[in-house]
Amino acid sequence: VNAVLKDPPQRGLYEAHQKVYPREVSGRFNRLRVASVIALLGLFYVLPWIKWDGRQAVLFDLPARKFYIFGLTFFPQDFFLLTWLLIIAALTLFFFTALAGRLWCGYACPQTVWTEIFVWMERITEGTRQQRIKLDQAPWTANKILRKSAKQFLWITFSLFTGFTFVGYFTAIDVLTAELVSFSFGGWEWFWMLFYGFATYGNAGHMREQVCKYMCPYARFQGAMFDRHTLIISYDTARGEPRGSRPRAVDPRTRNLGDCIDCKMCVQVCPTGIDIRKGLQLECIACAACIDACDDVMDKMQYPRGLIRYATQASMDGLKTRVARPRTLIYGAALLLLIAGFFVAVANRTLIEVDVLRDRNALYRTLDDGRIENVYTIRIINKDTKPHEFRLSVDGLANARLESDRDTHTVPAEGVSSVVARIQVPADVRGGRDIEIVATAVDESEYESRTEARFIAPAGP
Amino acid sequence: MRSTTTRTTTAAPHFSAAQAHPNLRIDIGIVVWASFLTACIATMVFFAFFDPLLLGNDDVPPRWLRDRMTGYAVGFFCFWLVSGLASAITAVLVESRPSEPPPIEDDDLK
Repeated sequence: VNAVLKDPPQRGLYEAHQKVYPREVSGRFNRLRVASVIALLGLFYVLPWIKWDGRQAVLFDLPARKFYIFGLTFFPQDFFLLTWLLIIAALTLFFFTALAGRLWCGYACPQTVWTEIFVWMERITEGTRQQRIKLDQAPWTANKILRKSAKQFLWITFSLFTGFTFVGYFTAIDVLTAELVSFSFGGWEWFWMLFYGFATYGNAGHMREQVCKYMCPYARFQGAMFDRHTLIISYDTARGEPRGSRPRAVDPRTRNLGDCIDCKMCVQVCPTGIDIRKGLQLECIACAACIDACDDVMDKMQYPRGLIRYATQASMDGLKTRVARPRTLIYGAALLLLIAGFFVAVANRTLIEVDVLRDRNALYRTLDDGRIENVYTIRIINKDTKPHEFRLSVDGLANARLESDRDTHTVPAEGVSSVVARIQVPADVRGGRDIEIVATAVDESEYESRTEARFIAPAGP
Repeated sequence: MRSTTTRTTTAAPHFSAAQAHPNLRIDIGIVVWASFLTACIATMVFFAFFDPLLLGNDDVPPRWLRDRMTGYAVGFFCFWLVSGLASAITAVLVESRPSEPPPIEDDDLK
């Protein structure tokens, strides 16, 4: 898609920034977005309060280095799963962008979702678009002070609650609530609560569309996923032009006019302040507010809807839109494969892991009887919700013995035990050898975990 | 609105502050923001593999670093500092890049 910037943005735009007063809009796409806002924000604010097996269902316990997600407990050793999940998220974004443009921006991005609720708070305190513009231009009367401070009160309270909820994902929200009541937050809890609250206030209250225009990396490269068969917000130039006002009863064709009555509603509702009639633009976050606004006007004029609509460039050019094309097929297949693999990996996650660290001070030690000894620190990680008892042994080297202070080692549920182990081999062993350290559960669980390690003996023939 | 910079090829390069950085505020904003994102990723990856309490010599953390949250935060701000420095230097080098010499033309061969 060749998106032409009819008005190339000036570099100094930020300083000369024109405040955007988005007009209120109603219609099917707005209902869809409101539903999405309620669902996503609801999820964000409610999730920390949900309990699972007697503890917070979703808790990223950073001080303890454990992530609880419903019934599952994840350790730092499971980091590759998170990476995998992020790759899936990125590929999902690419897939839907290729299919239907910036759906993410219009309906699901936190920036959009929080801005929506902040604009709503602005609307109930400062009024409609015209009222807000007038209020900003008016002198500071009691009414203006009252309305502005009511808005700030709502914004700040909501931002602080947002920050509180955010920290509630990292510190158990019950504990946090108790601390709130007794006003005894820890230092970092204060810091991150205010940090996230301030970010919410700044981004959703003041920055708004500028975040999308100046800060968002996705906005800059999403065009690479577009092609002629991608669904985008399109103005039907052939049908709309030449634009111009006309009385409702007049047939536009008799005045040589298209269907666009040039009411500029599509511009007024746009949260980024662009004119969609100039064609696809980098600033367009595909919120479809202009579609709703235009459909409304078309209804009033008794013209067919869809002068602005979701359409592909192919369909605008009178060609057939192809949903299944190499780009979507490849993205889709890769996505399915990754998702399937992710679930297999989670299902087959090992609950027991063994980390081996060689003693840093000496490569090896020769005992009085001539045998050779290496010392290791062995960490047994038990991700299960039950404690287990393990016996350690060594594999891969004939006549090797593993000794430690105890016969078996109990590792608490979701805990780690460190064991200093001495591995001893007969005197005739020479050079470096690969060995395996095995932790075998001696209870009924029959867990076993093996880890490779290196045994060092004196070099020799 | 300020005028945009034009690179002159005739005069010797001179870098007055206003000309070299016509958009200082937005440039600083971009540097801070881009390095913030990078620092977030770096912090996440780094502390997934290293426990802040085990980073000191002989596994004993310094006295001011006795809880992990402090460790994470100190790590995050260090990453932010480093990535910010890289971003800032990149921005300065890109912004103040002198123009290329003119291409060799037929006249040069006479």
